Amino acid sequence: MNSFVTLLSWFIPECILIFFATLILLYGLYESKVSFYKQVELIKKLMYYAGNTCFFIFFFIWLFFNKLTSGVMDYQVAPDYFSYSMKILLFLFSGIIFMLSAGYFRFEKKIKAFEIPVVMLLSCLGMSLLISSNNFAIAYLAMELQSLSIYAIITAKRDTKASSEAAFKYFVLGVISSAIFLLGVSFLYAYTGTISFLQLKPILSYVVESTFLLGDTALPSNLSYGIIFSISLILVGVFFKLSVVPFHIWTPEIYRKAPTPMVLFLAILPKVSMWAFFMRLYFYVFSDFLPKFSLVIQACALLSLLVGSLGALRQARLRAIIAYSAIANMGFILLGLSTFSVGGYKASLVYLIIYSIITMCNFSVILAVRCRYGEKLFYLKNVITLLYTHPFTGIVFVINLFSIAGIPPLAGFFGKFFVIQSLMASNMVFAAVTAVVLSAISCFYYLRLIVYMIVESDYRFSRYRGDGIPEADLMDWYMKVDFVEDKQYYTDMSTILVVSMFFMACFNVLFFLFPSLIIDSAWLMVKSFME
Amino acid sequence: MTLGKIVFFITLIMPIVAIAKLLTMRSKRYTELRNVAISFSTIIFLLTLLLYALFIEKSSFFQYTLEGSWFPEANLGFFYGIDGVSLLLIILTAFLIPVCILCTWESITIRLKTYLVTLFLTEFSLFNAFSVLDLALFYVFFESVLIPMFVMILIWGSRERRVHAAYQFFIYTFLGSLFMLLGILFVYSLFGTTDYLYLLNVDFSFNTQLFLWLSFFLSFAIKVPMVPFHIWLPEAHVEAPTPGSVLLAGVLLKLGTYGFLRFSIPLFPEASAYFSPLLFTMAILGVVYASCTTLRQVDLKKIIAYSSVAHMSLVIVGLFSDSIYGLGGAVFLMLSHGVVSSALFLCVGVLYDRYHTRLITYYGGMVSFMPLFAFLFLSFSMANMGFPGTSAFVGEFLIIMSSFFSNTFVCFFISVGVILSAAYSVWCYNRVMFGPTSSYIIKFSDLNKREFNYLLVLFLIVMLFGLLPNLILDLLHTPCAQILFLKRGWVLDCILF
Repeated sequence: MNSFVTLLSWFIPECILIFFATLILLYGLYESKVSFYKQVELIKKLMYYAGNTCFFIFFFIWLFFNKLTSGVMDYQVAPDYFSYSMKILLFLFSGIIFMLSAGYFRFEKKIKAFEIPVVMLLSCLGMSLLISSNNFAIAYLAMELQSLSIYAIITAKRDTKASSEAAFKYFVLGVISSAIFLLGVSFLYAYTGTISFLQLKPILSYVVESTFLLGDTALPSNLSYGIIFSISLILVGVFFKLSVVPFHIWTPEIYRKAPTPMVLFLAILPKVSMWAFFMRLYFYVFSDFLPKFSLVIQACALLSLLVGSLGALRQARLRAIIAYSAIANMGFILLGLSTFSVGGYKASLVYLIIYSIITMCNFSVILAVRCRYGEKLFYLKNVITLLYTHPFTGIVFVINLFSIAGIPPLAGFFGKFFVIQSLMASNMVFAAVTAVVLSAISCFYYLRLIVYMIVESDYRFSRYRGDGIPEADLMDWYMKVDFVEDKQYYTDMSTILVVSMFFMACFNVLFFLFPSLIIDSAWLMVKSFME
Repeated sequence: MTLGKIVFFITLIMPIVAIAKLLTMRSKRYTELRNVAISFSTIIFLLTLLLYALFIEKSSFFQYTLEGSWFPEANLGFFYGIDGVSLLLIILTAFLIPVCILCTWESITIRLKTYLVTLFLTEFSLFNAFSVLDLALFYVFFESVLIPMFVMILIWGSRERRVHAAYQFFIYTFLGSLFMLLGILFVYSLFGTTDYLYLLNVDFSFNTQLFLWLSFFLSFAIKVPMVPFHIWLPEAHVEAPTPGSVLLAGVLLKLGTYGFLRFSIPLFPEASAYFSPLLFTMAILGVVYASCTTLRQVDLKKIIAYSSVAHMSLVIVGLFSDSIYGLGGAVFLMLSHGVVSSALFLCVGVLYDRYHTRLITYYGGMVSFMPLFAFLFLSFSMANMGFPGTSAFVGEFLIIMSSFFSNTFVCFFISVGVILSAAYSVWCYNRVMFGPTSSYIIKFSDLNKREFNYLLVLFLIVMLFGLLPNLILDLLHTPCAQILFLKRGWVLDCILF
């Protein structure tokens, strides 16, 4: 009885999540039947509720997680410091994402399904379980819960071709990668007879020790190779979710075609949860086999950087650029992990946090601005004049782009700084030089966005110069002309968007002065994990 | 905290205060914005003069040292302190900012607030870059200058080609500096710190020095720029607005030579000695090639840009000439070039404001209706060629003298460069100012009071330091001697003052 209560206490955040998700579902059902609510308003309201639920869980774990934490035992979940702090991060980000994307539904009259927030909450549940999973069975189930919910929400605009196509592609590819993952797990089970992480670790270290170090003949000779094979299959499943080259093909396609809030959701949260899972799996369970994989992980990271940097150069769509930049950033995160040093893990976690915030900022700019007929910033040419028509959004976007390009003293630079520093510390000079050169190349397409925002406007503007209009008033005049001509902007500047954009810009600028706030906590998390 | 430290701290954060004040103002009130900006920049300039007054010339230590924790567990921290070289460069920066505001008093009519904020951001980054004594933070500030300059070229540049120029400027510099970042991180992985004063007292092995020197060299050589890496400079100068060119030629190029002086030479003395033939070769090529290229330019700004390349190559010869005259002359020429080339860009800006072209073809016979301008432009052209009595002469003379002692071959070639500089300066002046009056010119107006005043100040400075060079050389003696002694391996105890 006592052990049951202890077990349940570890699941309190998840229980709260399920409770509120059910409540929101019931409320939505009630409202949609009884009061003839306008469906879009209802979804918006439910998104706010879901966001508040996430914030509630965030505060709950933050306040109580010391009491939740206890020693590691052979249970299905690992209630340790690492998993709870990753959950704090996860629920903070998901809360912000729910809040940011709520306004979106006002413009999309076609989306009728009020269940979307609930499904997104369930996806969060899957991620939360994945972070703390201590067993391959529960990890697989959690991963599927996370992915299935995402497949479902991508079809939110099921009337449009793009949305259904994206969902179908992501579904097929995702299912294949899950199947490969499951195959790897079953191989591992066949070779070792267990799927519990705690039991696997000593078995694997025994195998490594006896096969590679002692040359023990008591074990079958091909056992270690079988285990390596199964580990690489599992690696495929994880890399697919992290969108690391060569399993990245889905990324630009899905980013481009799925509805914006769903892309925002899928660009950040699965990466956080899969990063945590990857850490637990590869640096705790498979840690003895890692030297066999160091080259593979490093090669995948460098290839991601290469594809992410060069692929975006010829893109004409904003979200395709963000997708390639996500691939490149994943390369950096993986490069930090591939050093197999504590500094590298810390750098990787810091980079993940900074990347998430920058990505959220990018998407809040996309969500905030709409062109004529309510279309979003889709093509690069939609960005033209953004700095002058929407000064606030434009400045936030410029700061953010400089930051993601890695120009000091903005936050994005420090992410790269720590990763490259950890590379230099572990003597991976080739990787460091490659990363540096590729980040200089990738700098170009971020700059191109800034140039579009600043310059293109000017020489359209110069057409009206010298028409007897005072120079100072030309800008106003220009905006009027443009208003009539072809580019009628209006915005969805809800207070939440403005405030969060302001804070993210402040984060980018002020990270330089107070880096310790984030780095200290990352350090604590990684250190606790290493012990 | 002594008075000097307090003044220094206020000087460092004053640009941020100015930005905060500007951001709270209405963007349409142009007169107010200009007044606030000019008063803030003047206050900052006066503060730097106060720093000069409080400075102890003969001290061989870094003064006004400020410390702050930034990132304790990684052993990185804010550490500021200045010696004579930094002080002079800071004063130069602080002096050029109000000049920039004045020279665009009427010509910038769009997005004035952004423009002023950009200027103060540049000033902030430069102050920090010149005074920080930590490699990682130096890198941060060295790079952060890129953002305001990029924005400045893009928004207030005059032609469509400015996009190309801005990309070139940004990506050249960024790529070069990233190698410096690698070098800095390598130092950090070796010693666990990037504190400059600590690194002065450690021995790098010869091979490490070679690697680190090359990685630093790439970044500084692009910034200076030395000849194979100079392509971005004429482009950026031509496309940038006048204040952009002034800041670029006046201070930003000095970041590169300052980097050589502060980091490459004292930290990696053996590698510097090992590579100095390479640098001399590049500098000779720079002087001769850039001077010859200058002769065939038709754009006024390009002429000044290429002559900047030639002069900066001269500075490099001085820096690596291994004598105290050479080092002192190099720093002197850096400062003098900062004033003279800025003044020339301002002169071009004066012409551009009136006639909206920079091509020499459209000018001619200006002397007959712009007498004041003709006089000032003549004096700055003379200064540019290193005429005795102007400040450039002192620097060039010291550099040529020291190179005569260290390497006569080099001396010969850079003297050729000086002769060529006379040729292009005089010829350029001749084509613009004399000859028949150009038929393209229909409106005539000489300098107005504002333009005359700021050009006059620059003129007085050029003459003052040409006639009384000891005002600067006294300040330079100690830091240059210290850099040389460190190079010779004499251990100086760097106890903080």
